[in-house]
Amino acid sequence: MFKRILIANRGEIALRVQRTCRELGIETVAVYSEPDRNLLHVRHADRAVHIGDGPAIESYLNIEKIINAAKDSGADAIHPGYGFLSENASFADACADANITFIGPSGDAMKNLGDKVSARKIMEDANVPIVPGANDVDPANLTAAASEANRVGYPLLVKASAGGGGRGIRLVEKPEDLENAMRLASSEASSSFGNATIFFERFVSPARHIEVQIVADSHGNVSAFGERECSVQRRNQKVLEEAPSIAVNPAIREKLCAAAIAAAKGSGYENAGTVEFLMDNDGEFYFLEVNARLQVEHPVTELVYGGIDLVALQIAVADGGTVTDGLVDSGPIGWAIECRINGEDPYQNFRPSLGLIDYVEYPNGPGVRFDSMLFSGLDVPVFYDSLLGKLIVWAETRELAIQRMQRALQDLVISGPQTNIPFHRELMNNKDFQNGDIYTNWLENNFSMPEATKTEEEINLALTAAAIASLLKSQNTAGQAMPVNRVSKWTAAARKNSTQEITISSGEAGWRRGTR
Amino acid sequence: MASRYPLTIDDVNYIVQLDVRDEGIFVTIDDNEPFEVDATTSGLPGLMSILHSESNWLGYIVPESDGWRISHNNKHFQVTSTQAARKSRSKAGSEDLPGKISVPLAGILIEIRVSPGDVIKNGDTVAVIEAMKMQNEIKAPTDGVVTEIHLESGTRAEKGDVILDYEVSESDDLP
Repeated sequence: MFKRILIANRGEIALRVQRTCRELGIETVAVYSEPDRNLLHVRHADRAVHIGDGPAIESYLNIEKIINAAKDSGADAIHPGYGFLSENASFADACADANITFIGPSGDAMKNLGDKVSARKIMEDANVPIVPGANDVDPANLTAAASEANRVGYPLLVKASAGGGGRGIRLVEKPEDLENAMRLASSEASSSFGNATIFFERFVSPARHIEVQIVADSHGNVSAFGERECSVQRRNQKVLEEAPSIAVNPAIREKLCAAAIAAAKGSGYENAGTVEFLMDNDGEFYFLEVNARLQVEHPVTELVYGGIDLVALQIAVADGGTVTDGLVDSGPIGWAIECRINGEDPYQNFRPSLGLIDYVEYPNGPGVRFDSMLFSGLDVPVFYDSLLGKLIVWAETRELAIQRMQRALQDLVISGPQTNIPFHRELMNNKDFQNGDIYTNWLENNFSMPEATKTEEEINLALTAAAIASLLKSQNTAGQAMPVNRVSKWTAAARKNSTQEITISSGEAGWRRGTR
Repeated sequence: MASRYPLTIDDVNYIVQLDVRDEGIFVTIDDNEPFEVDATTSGLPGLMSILHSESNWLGYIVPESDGWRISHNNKHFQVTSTQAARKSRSKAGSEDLPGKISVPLAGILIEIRVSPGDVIKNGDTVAVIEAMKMQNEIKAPTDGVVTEIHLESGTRAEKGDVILDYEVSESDDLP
């Protein structure tokens, strides 16, 4: 078993991995960028190594610095989390070269699956259904491309083989638009990804995004932990995930898992991964891509498979452990939903909103899990994504899980930046969502965030609170906090607020006037 | 003894009166019926819980230059102090050109305290305007001598209307 694992990540996922390591008796090494000095993953680690400045390219994406941190701290394995270097084949190779175990698939498996045309071919060979399409399209031979396109059928998608994250994709509705779309997709692919290869895919719509969690060991066994439903998306980003899917029955689940297992075996995959599919209304599904890492939304699978710890499984198989081959039959039990809590303003077209967290209250109680980086007084750095935490609930049924999520969203208090909590509360009350009528384009086409409204009661109490704060401020003007020396620029603005806070309390018991 | 706070939310002005007694706080907003609240802060500065009609309101209050930013129920309320906003405007004399004093907010000009030829000093009240049942003093931003009055007392004035012209006196301490 590993003695010490370096976690090459930050935020909630670094904490998530640390917790499992601690339970397993494995020491943890955190890495952190300059603005992340105050984050919980630094405080909670057994060791913490500074690796550079705020921009990820100088810290969390810097392979050399992370490998050096692992060597210097005596780590014998690296867990990459998600994002950053988690699907970087060069990083996996660099770990192998440094004789450090990379907790994830091999660099070769990542390369084969990262290229979409090569992944499609691997899946075809493994008899995994792929979206009907044309693999090798020569942008120069328009006549051949047009006849391939007719065979695939319109509407179709022109995609870049090296694309990802929704980039390098063009929807073509009719034949006369094909040439232009091919030219654009090809040049975009060439400039963005350094690879002009394009292919065609039939446009499956309406479609659900269904994905299967797998864990593969180094002995050829692959476990499949059922599906997750991730159809609620904005700009190709998932905002809510659940397990299982309302559209998947046991027969479909068996077929999905068999396809995912075949995909993993066909690509020589090891460790935890996710096989993504598009599924139409008839339950027909098509391979989309493999995410060669632990996913943000992995907790919903953990909760419906009896609380299994996927990070512990990742560590076990990286250490040569085995998993049971085939569909895991201990689940799904009940229903789990995850809401991604982001620092973004749903009333202003979801523009980012980060900064000082004045106050946070975690939700709690039966069936509630909040994987989060938040604490009162945290300055959320602006260099990274807007994910503040993941609110995950479990209940016996989907209906009860929605009720529980509504309750947990009400219990979760985040004061400071605007979060998307009001959006999730609207979503939970939405009839389409409650009925499970959700597709990948549903959120953008059928959901609109209502205007922010303030009730008379809310206004009256805000006025009352402001008046009381004014009164207290005038009674106690001597409470200015001491200035803090040597703060870096990124904290200065937010820190300014916290040092000007109203000093309402007098003594430990605080200030109180009321009808006691 | 009641304290009086002119406050603004979403461009609507309110007058909030607090009457703090041993048995509780009585709040009057504008001319509405007073209501009673039980307000408390914990050891965390800025966090306030208010019980009103037995239901709890929890908010976090951050001071800003002209008022308060309040987070409640994952929503934000910008509460500006109408007095602070007015003070900073007249102190800065921001929109006024040198030698002119104008109306800082729309209302009824109830009094003009100076006449042409009068010497005025920085901070002297030259006029009083009433808006939202509040009387606001309009002060001279610098020393000078009044040359001309443009408005009449008792009339409605709009924000930016010039009340009077004056000759700015020479001063040693230039800005």
